[in-house]
Amino acid sequence: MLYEPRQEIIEHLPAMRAFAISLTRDPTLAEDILQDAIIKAWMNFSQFEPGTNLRAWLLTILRNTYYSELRKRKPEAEDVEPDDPAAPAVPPLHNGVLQMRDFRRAFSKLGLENREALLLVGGMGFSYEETAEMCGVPIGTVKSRVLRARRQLAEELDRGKGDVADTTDAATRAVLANRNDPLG
Amino acid sequence: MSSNGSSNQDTDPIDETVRQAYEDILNEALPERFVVLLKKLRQGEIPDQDVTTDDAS
Repeated sequence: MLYEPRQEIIEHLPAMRAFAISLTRDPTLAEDILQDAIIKAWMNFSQFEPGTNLRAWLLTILRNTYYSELRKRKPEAEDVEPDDPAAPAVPPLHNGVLQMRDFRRAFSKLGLENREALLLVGGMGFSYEETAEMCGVPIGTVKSRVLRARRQLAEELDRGKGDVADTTDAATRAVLANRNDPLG
Repeated sequence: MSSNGSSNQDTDPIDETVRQAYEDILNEALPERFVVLLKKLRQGEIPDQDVTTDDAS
């Protein structure tokens, strides 16, 4: 089989999908954005400069695609806090799962620009310079966004610790109430 | 450590959780629609949709 350089896109699809989900916080929209981005990248692969970072190029296309979509949808689609689609309806049994669910909820509350900066730098391991280039902003702006995101996440998670009792569902509260009732 | 191997930037303990959440998604199976899409692209079929080149620069 002949070497097809565009095949290299495939190995970056999981990272693109993860980035899309984190940006949109909506798995369905994320898949639509990802599909558009894959087609654009495939059709315009001649614009990619060999030897540069393919993943960064692909994520830039994905990001631009999402921002274009946001502009089309304005003003009805603002970056508001959504319900967490990944959050289970009942409290998880395992504490680690609970912590990750809380983390995802706190992460989804970050503003779009702070969220993407922290994901690219903290989650995906891009440098500030690479992230600045991908987002089209100065390095200092990326550093500020990452810092704000970290602080807000830490505050949200800290605040969430006090809400643990409130996560108990109605059925559990009923069981606990009966346990305290000498006639129950 | 950056994606190109440099490590001249600060890190924060919370980054580890961000990375873990990212990797959780990374490890999920790619939806079937993308397998189909890639097959079409390899065959030279471009799905009919509103595709511009503006974002690929």
